[in-house]
Amino acid sequence: MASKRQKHKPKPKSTSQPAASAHGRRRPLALRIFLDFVLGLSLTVALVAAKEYAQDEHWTAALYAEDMARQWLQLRLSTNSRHELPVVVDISNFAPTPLQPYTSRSALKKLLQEIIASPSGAPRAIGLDVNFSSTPDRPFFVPTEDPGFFDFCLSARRQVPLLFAGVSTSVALGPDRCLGASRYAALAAYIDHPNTPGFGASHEMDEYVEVPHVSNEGAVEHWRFRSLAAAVTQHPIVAERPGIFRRMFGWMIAEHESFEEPIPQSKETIEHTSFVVDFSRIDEIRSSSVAAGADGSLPSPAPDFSHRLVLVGRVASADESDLFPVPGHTEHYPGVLLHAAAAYTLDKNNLLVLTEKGRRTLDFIFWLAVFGIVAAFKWKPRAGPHEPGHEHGHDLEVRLAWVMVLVIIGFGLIFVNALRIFWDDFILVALATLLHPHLSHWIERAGSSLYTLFRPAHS
Amino acid sequence: MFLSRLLIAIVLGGTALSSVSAERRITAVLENIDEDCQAALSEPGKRAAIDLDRFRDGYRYLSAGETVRCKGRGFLTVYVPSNPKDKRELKVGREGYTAPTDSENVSRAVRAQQEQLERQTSAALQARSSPAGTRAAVGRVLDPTPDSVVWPKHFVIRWRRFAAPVRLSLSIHRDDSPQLAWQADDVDGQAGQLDSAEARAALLNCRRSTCRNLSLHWQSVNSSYDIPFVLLSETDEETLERELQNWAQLTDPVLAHIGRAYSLQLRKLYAEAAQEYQQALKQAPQSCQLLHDARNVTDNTSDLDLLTEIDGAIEKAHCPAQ
Repeated sequence: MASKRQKHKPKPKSTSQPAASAHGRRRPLALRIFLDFVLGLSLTVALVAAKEYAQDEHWTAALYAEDMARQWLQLRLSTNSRHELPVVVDISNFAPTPLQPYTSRSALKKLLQEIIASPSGAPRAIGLDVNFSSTPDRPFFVPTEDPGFFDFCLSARRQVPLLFAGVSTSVALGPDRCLGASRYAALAAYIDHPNTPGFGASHEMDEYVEVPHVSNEGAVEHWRFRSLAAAVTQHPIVAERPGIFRRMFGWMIAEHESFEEPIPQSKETIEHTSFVVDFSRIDEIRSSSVAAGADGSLPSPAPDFSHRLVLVGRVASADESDLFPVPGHTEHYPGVLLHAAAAYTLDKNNLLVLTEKGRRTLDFIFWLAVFGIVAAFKWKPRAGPHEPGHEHGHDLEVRLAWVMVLVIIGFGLIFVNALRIFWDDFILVALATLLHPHLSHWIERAGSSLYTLFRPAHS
Repeated sequence: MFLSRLLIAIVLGGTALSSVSAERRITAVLENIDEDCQAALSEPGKRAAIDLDRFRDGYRYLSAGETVRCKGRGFLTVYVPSNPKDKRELKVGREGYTAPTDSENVSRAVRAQQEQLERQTSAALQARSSPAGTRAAVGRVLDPTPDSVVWPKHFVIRWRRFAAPVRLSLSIHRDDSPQLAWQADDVDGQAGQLDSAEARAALLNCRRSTCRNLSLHWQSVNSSYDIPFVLLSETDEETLERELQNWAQLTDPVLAHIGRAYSLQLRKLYAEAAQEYQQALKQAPQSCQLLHDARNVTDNTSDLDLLTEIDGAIEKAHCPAQ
């Protein structure tokens, strides 16, 4: 070891060098560790603050990094689910045509009757991914046919209590009018999918949307509408009792995030409560979909619907307006498959996100781990920044940082696969881990050089 | 005495009937029902309570005056949107909760306020997200309208602009021959229209060879369909041009537009007629007659945006239903 140190020994460049080395040796160890502590903390805080600022300002690089992390996590999601997949019934055979610009209500009715009377047993829930919005999406609401169809749906609820019809922007009209009349309000479920600014695809969908509405007295009310996935899964009514992990770390993780979106030219806001969707089984959902006939009949033999979630919508003939990019996948998927993946997620396959407190805590824990390694190196007295052997120590720190990066990526995988926690900060934490030894080394050298230049004459 | 009692009975009977037939206003939502709650609902004016199912009645909308309560030890959650934000979710036990009542008389000012907020909210929702559900496939092509008549001289293909770059392939097929009458590939979907002199020439050639029925084949990345249309005959064209010249002689420009729209509509030139009504509405935007006529014509076109715009204008002008 001694010979190795000799090998790295730099030649003295000036007369001030021995003095600097002497100072390096003399500087108290505790001070060096404290400086490193401050450096590490500052670095972490700066990176987190920069990340949040960049995300708030929609910087391209930040969006790209976030998207990359999410795509990677989606790719790595385990496909070992605890529950079976929802069944998607493809209604492409009676999809809207230029001559009849809306989905045939008579075919839909026949299809529902067949699904409910399925020999294997009635499904647990049915979601119609058809836009029944009254206004302004005319003619998706068909005044001559829809009231009769909705009355049929209400009566069909005796067999399948969880039967819902899709609505889009007509939620702005409130429950009294979103499906044309207040008696149909209970059927309404929101089917919009968030657009995807920046890169990639939206990994979140709305669980609820809360829209303002002026009451007849002139007061502003806020009405809450469930998404189709939340409605068919009755989320969170049948949520499991939290396990020991959730009881201990519940404050760190959440099932959904809420945010308020301002309405332009108004003082009001729309509140969205969104959740991360597990898209890992979307291809399986598509391949197991069932195509209904042109008159709404089911193929023979009828698929097994018993106690399953059934979503009805267009798969094969979905047009541009109903095709969406999905994280972790290159192709675009029809909206009904997105709702099915969302329902699968809420049906006890929830992906969890870190709360603000949880994110901070995790950032701090990883920073402490990095700092601990660096401190362990510093604790063992070793060469100062300009002394022989210092470079060798720095190399080791860098190698250890790389090991930590692998550990962090491993944690990212464990989080998403075993604990189903969607931790998309892992790239940033890995970056901080890599930067730390380099910055620490650079600052230490710069500090020593400055000290050498400006040290008092008597030292 | 008997007469006065009879009158009171008639008035009360009438009131009761009207309250049954009228749509009751929703003022609260029954969100969740606890396992031990054994929830029950009482409708206003009825003593018998209905037992509620914990799962089936989750998120049941409550009309004004309806009361929910737990018969057991548990709780249910009621969401009352008109309450202040921190008091919107209420935990209700055995004491019960009655959905707030309100008056049905909506003042004009409140109605205007409602409509404005509805429009703003709807626009904000549209800006953030897109409906992920089955929608009309025809909405993209605005002109020609299915089963309409096309005027070869003024033929322009119009469609709803694509937000993203999309290349289209458009072709016109004759019903009496397998040969293509006209074709254009690699058309820019973001342009929103194709004004092609070649297409017009092809249609005029077609008409000269006595063909009348054609279809436009639309092919984009994920959709393809045919829009059948008929060519305006030479005789009809001559008559139409004469009529249009006559209408132009009217001194009132609004009447001139109405007249032209009438002549165009008569020949199933719906898109052109709808444009005439739009010109007329620029000068008399609140005319209920014009708005309803414009709506009737536009209903025959595929221009859903324009239809929605007219509906909004009809509501805004408080026009009586026709």
